[in-house]
Amino acid sequence: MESETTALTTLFTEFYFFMTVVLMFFIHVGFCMYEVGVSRTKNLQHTLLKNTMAIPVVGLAFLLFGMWLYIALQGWPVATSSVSLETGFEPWSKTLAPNLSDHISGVFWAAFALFGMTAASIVSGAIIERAKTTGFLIIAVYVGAVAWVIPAAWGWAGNGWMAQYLGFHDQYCSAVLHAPAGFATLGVLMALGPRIGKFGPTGVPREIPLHNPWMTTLGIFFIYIGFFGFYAACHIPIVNVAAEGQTAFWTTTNIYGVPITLSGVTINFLFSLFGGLITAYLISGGNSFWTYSGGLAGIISASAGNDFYHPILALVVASAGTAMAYVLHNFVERRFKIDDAVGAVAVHGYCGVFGGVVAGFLLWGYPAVMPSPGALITLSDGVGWFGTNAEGLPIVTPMGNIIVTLVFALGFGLIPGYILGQILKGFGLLRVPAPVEVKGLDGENVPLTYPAISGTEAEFDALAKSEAKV
Amino acid sequence: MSTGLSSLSKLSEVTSAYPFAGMEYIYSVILLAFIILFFMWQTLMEQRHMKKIMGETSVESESPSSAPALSPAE
Repeated sequence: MESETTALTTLFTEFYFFMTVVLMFFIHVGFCMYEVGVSRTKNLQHTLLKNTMAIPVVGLAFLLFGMWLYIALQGWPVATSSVSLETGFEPWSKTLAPNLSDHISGVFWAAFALFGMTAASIVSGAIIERAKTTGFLIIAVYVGAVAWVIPAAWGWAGNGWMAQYLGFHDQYCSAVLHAPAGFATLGVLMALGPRIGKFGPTGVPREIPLHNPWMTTLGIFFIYIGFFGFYAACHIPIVNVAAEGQTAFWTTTNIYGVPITLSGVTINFLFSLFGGLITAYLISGGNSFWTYSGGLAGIISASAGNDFYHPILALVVASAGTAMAYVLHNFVERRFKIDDAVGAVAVHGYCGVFGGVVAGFLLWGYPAVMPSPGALITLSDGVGWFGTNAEGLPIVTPMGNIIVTLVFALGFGLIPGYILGQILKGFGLLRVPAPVEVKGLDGENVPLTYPAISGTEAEFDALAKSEAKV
Repeated sequence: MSTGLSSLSKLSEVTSAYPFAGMEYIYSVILLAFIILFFMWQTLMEQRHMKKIMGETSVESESPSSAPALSPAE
């Protein structure tokens, strides 16, 4: 690189995104532990592998077309009618491989791929103990590489047409990722049906005991850690946002090119976690499962505006979202017999929608996008359908955020999730047969999960002793 | 030659540094085929697994003796 400034900013950005990828992997450690902790002993290995395989499968799909969708569709179909096949993120692109002229594309792709894997994992937990792995992985490709990616292209990019024309703001993906993934999960659950025995003869839901509450505890803490990386990956870490000819202004920006501080975001992240934990603890009467899930619910409820909220505001939004999710989860479970084993629809779906809608009110009037050559953001013609500021920049409005949030949750989540679930069900790829569900999805491997308890270890020890003649 | 990097004398001109540069379309086809193959294999593997469990279900209850036999070689 020719200048020191270019070299420093480029290499810092490369390393920054690399670290977000490492941190985000903890989300998968957490999801795996959480789901396995919630599963019964007879289903552990199936649960673990079902979730784990979403990582490579979504990753491959993301290289094949996911990242291209994000880059190519940002202006389509409103700002432009053309879709490029030369974005630099096609699977045949020369920049998605070791290339000394490009330090960013690979780590940028990886951060987005990790977002996709996270989205797919949201579905995974809800459908445990009765879903087939094949069906889930097909759903994972849709949710991880399409369902949130097109919303992200339209509403989670400085050049996205929904950000520019509708003033949509959702910095940490409440409505962009969590809402479509959560509502797609609801659609799949409607097609899948509850686990055998989940509902009694009168329709009252039964608690299916956790196999290992300590594993769920650690799992959710790992998810919290991973979410720090998720948040960090939503930034442009260092960029000069000054217009051409003006004095340089170096800063971190949100995904829309608007200056923010990592400092402010960090405290808001923690306060939304605090709000969720405390509210869930209180409203659930000290239920540990809900308390831990509440932390995540709080973060997701406040995520849409956590780049600008005051910490106390983040706390209040997180508390309200968490309480709403808890009440709504129990209502939907009883009323519609939806068996969401980990509360994913509530935490991601309901809180995602809540976060997107609330941000529209609380950030009403904020510039939605800031164009600058440094952030590679340019303003299209006729932006700001719901209003612009004095400089002609589109502004955040309740109307813009409500419309977009509902389009993402229903149009990319619930409806396609239900249709996909029904198609998979029709092909016999969604649900395991009832005898398999009763016996356990691990089948012959059940005794090998805990050999010391099942007797397999003792059996082997006896064999070893007889061979050693001791 | 397969190498994408045969000289380090003009670093500012070095771009693709991986072998067989120029064959990215073929790499893409390999990726697509790999994914399709995975899903086919996974579907068959899961079918066999389900059938095996169904076969066991009517015969036995869960107990240590239902575990697969172990031998030192395993």
